[in-house]
Amino acid sequence: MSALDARVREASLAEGTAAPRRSFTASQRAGVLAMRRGAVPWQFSVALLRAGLALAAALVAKARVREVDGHRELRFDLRLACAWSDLDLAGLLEASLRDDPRDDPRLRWRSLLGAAINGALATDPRWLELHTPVGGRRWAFDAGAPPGEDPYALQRIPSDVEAGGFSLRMAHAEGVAAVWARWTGRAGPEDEVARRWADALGVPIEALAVREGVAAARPPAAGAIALGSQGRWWPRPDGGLFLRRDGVRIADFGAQVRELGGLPLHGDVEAPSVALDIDGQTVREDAALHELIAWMQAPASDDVETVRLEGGTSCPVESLRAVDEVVFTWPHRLTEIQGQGAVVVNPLTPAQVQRLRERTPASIVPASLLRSARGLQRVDLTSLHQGSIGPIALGEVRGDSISAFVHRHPVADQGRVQVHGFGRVLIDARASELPGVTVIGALEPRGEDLEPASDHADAIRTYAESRGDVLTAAVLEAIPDLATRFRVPWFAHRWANLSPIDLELRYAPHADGVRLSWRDDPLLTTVVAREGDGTARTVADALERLRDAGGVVVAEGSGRWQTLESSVPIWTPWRLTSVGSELLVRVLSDAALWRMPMVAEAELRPCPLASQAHVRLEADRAAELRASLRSVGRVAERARCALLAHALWARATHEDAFGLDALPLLSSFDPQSAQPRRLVSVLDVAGGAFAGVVPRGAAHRDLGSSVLEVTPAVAFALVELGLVSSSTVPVRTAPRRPSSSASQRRRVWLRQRVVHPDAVGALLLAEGPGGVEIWEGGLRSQTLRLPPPYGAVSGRVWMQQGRHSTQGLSRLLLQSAQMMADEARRARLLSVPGSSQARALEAFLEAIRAQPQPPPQPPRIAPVLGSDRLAATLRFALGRAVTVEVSRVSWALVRDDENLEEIRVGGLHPLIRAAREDGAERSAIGVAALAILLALSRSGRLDRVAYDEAAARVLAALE
Amino acid sequence: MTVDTHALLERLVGQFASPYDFLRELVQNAMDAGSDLVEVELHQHPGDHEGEVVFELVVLDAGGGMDEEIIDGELTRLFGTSKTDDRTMAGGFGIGFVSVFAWEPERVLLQTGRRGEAWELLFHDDRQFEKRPVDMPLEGTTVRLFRRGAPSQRRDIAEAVEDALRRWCRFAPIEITFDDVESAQGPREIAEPLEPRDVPCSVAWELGASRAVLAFGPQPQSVLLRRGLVLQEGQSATLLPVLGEAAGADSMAHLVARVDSPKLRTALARDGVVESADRDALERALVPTLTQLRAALVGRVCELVARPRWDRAAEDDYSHLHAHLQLEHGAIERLDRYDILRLATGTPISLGALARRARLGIVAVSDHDPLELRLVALRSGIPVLHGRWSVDQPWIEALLGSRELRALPLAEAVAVAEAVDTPPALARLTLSLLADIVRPKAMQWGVFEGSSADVLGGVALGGAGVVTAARWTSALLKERTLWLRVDHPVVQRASATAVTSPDVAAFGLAAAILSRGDAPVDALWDAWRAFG
Repeated sequence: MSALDARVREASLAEGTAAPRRSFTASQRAGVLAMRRGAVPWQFSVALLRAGLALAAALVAKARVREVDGHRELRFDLRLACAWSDLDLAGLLEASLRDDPRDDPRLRWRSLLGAAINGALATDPRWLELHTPVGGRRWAFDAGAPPGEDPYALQRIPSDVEAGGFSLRMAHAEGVAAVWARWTGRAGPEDEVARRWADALGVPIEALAVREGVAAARPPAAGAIALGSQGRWWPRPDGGLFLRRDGVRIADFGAQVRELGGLPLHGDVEAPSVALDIDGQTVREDAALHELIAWMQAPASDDVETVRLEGGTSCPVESLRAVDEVVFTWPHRLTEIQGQGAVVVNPLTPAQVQRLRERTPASIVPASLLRSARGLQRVDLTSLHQGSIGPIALGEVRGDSISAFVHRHPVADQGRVQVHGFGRVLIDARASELPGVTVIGALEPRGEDLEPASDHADAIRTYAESRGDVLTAAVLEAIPDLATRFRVPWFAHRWANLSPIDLELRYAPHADGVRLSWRDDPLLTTVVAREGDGTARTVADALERLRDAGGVVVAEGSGRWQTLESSVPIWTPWRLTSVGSELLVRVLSDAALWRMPMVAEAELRPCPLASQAHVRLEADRAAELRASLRSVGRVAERARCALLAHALWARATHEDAFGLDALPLLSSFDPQSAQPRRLVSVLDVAGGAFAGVVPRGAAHRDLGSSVLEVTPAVAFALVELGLVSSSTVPVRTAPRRPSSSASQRRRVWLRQRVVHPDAVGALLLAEGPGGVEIWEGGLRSQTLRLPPPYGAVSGRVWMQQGRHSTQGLSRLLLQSAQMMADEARRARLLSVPGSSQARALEAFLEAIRAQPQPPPQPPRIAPVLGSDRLAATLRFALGRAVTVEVSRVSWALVRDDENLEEIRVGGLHPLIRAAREDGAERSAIGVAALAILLALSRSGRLDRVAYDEAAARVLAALE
Repeated sequence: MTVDTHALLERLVGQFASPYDFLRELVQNAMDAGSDLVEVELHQHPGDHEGEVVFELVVLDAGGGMDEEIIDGELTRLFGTSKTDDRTMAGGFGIGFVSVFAWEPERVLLQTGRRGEAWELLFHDDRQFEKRPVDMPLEGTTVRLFRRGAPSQRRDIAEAVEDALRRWCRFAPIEITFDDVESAQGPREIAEPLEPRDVPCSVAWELGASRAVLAFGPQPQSVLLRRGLVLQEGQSATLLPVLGEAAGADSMAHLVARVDSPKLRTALARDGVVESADRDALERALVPTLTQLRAALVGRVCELVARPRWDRAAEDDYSHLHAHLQLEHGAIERLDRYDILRLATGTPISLGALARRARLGIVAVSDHDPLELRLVALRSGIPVLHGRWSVDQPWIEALLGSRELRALPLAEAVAVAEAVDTPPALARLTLSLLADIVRPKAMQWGVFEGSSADVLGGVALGGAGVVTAARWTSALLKERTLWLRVDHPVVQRASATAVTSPDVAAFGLAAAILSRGDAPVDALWDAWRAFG
């Protein structure tokens, strides 16, 4: 049973074995009413045509409005030739719930006719009648129908039409024009019908006379081009490209085809495999649509023997048989994948693909399935094999096999997760948690779907992390030498991270109390010490000794302590290796390493206190040790251990504790506190404030409540004394009351919608960190942080199907952020002063204001036409390069224009003429320039400040 | 012929825009069942291997639950709802529950009890289900959705669940909580009052079962609801076109509306609220409420203006309220009657009264300028409004512009001037050039205190100061003394140039003077030629 099923079973309240499987049923009556409520106005008239064409290849349809007995009657008559036997009028409305274009024509007729009648009933007629050669039906409005029931009662009526067609009639009690005007806002039912039929049949509305009769026919098979299994195409020289269903046009998808890279195509297409969106009027973009486009661009009748490559060259399709893999794309999609790699992508037509599949054993790979690949080139793993330990089989994630390579070289310390498909890298993600390891997930193609889920790399990384021991074991097996192992980045990383928490060091309940336990890890086999006789000791040995003896006796240097060395094997001194010395302090803690000279027999051990009278202190020795607490380092630590041992022993044996149980001798850890570690006394512990005991170094912030960090011997004693529980599992906190939304909800100050063919969503100025989440396929794929000053902008954008690049997306988001800044300026003043919104907007705007502006662009240098001193004076006055044109035929001082780039002056104006004369005086030039500036100011081309500056410059030039 | 129920079911499931929309449907089901609470919990359980977990999403209500008849006739029967008069969401279509499949759960466990019956339904990923009785009494309905995934997905799923609940159900009249159990943060309440926060004013409206709140806010976001559940939200102008047509584009640029009515309904595709006569009528019914809202805004401004003492907060409120009022200038009838402005003296004043006081068509705006300047303005017939030009310029210009009044900061409108030596020749030459154009009586060089750098000069209309803002028309200058600011660049340069080219300096000064008015400049060319 899978974990999921186990959870379901756990949550189940029902007894007994599985019940029989059932399926959903449908309330056809309510379904009919629901569809009626959602009916699109006048669409029923098209459904009527479709119903007729489902039975016959051609028909003539009429629609008329007339007055009958004080009612306005709208009547449709369809004349067509077909066999009327075997047609059934039972359950017509319910049949409208079925919509399958592959149905038998008689079933299809019933579905479409039912849809037409149901849609017509949405207009609230007093009655509606159907007359067919196989009988008649009448739906009459029943005002007394109970709420929720269909207000139309069905009756059998004699039909007044014979073989050759059917008729639909509906009457409205009030003026029909008013009904339609209210219902649709349009006038004239016949006009509306004509418009719908004209669109459906593809004829000009002027050519339709719905009262006299409109001829409709399914396109003849003769003029059609076969599109493989996709359908048929009736090309036209111009007009739209229409998808036909049941002989009539449903949607124009020509623009969609062009957008997808197809040629401008025209005509009508029948393609049952092409799907429509829920509105029934938009063609869905999927693989079937692309294949249809490919068929239309290169029908089967085209040359299938030659592949036309990019650039006009061609090669025989047979030549592709020699390779083991043929990557292809439909020709209209070739540009999508250009530049993605050196692999040859063959633009093949559907007919050519069919031919290749029949004739070659090569793998035919659609390039579209490799769209998410980083490159279309197949990845070469040779160097990875050579420089790594592996491949190491790790198992499977979501049915895909996962293997790993542990890099040998010390500089190859990057961790990566790659997802491969068809031998290509589809996803290449960094994995800092796996330094020096490349993990590869090989995606198995499943049908036409090779798109990895956006979280696939995450799932693989998480899984690979959980299998880290396998990687370590592979290193240990491949590299016997310890020094060489440390050159392997993964091994060095694991070694450096080996800690009490990593090893899950904990006190587990045991028969007599608690006992140290840990997770098995391949690194525990590493030798970290040797005994005097050369016996190698591993990390696992050290842990076992800590568990059983309470500590490890360590001898340093080459000296021997003959008199102090114990004859008991578990107290035999170890000489630590250099790596072992560092590791054991980290994992066991310094307090657990009993460094010689010391008497191991005098230490507290993880066994009943009553048998440990050796820890008893005399009063004066206790006082002496208390004094030592004021020193630092190992002296104080040793003193604390001895005093604590006595306090615990005294409590167990009811001896005099000398007040030591009130001394802060035990280390506690409060995960809720800013300074989590502090010393507490035995009496504090007896107060019951601590949930349990953990080994030294094993406490962490995720614990649910305060614990004591102690050695195995102290842990054993505390449990024995009943001061703490034998379980260290954090007690789960009680469910809190629901917090108010005001305190929890992330407040949004400003929202800017992002609407683009590639992405939709919104940017937010909101509480919390910045960064725009990019979501694809229902899950987040990445978070983009916008550059300053938009770093605070957050939000969520959903990528649409299609092409997009990170660069393009960043540009799009930046544009939206700039629009957001404009909106922020407006919203700032409209926000309530002092409100958090106003403050947030002000801070956002302040950041924008503080952003250094790009230096102004230098003025455009324009050639000076008619170069003279007046032009030079004006350029000097305005401080910019301007073109001064002199019109020889104008009397106007300055021609009115829109900018300052060009100033056109009249050569005949007296001031200009005087200024341009040979040997003109400076004053004449100055006056002309001042006059021109005044004219420019008056015409609004110079603002006041600019005018004053310019005028002052002209005057200055004359000083 | 039978309906292909499986195909129909898949079509219906495929209609939900988001895989988390089922939460909205289940909340509605709970409300329909009379529940006053809905609790949503996300649990994470160990999976089959280390990299896999099982997500369990629990939706629990305390409603009336379901008996076998409801289960068979409505829950597992498409379009089988009894809520035929309810056209909210999918509820009216009887397909609400199937939305749970849009999340692609591998199992759905539903436990429910009603009138002593208790049932459990286990739905599989192929949509088939097992129905079994439960021996213990159950109240309400609990739906559990199970799906496998990676641990890293939990945060995203929790966020999406909370987002969906807040998007659709934040105004629901029942208690809704969400608890991402693994996060150990405890349950969070999904609730928000219908009245928008941080808005200057709001007006409530109620008619039968319909109710609405209109307000003016920083962003024109509106929400359409039915029984407290959001049907659609977006830009006010898009969501309320009929109201928008009556209100005008400016009003819709800051209108916040929350409209809750049983007359609003969505189509089967649930891509928006259906346009209908009922909806149009509802929007039309809100038009008088909008008028009330405008009146409330004016009332708030008047109330603030009449407050005797102002501090910085009051000034901020004044700017903020007027920024909103600016968008209603064209919509409020006879706005110039109301005392919505405040003179620098602290006296409230209406726009109409202000226009009558502004004899020169100029209104000065002052924050904390010296009293002396304000006195100059007062004696010159320039009323002084209280305001911060850097903040209030847009609305002041828009409001006063509607009465063809020109507004500008006090320091640009008037100045205190002190006479200094006037170069007689330059003054005389300049006066002669202007003699037939604007005809000032005399010219006087002076030092202007506190005026901005671009002020060329002014005209003394009374007292010891000059008006620097008025356009230098012939009507203003005629027979008056024109003061020029001695430290203005043009005046400085003209004075210096007058040593070598007094005629050109005078031309420069005359041109600068004419640049401040509307007198025809061609006359200057003629005067210059006559000069020569």
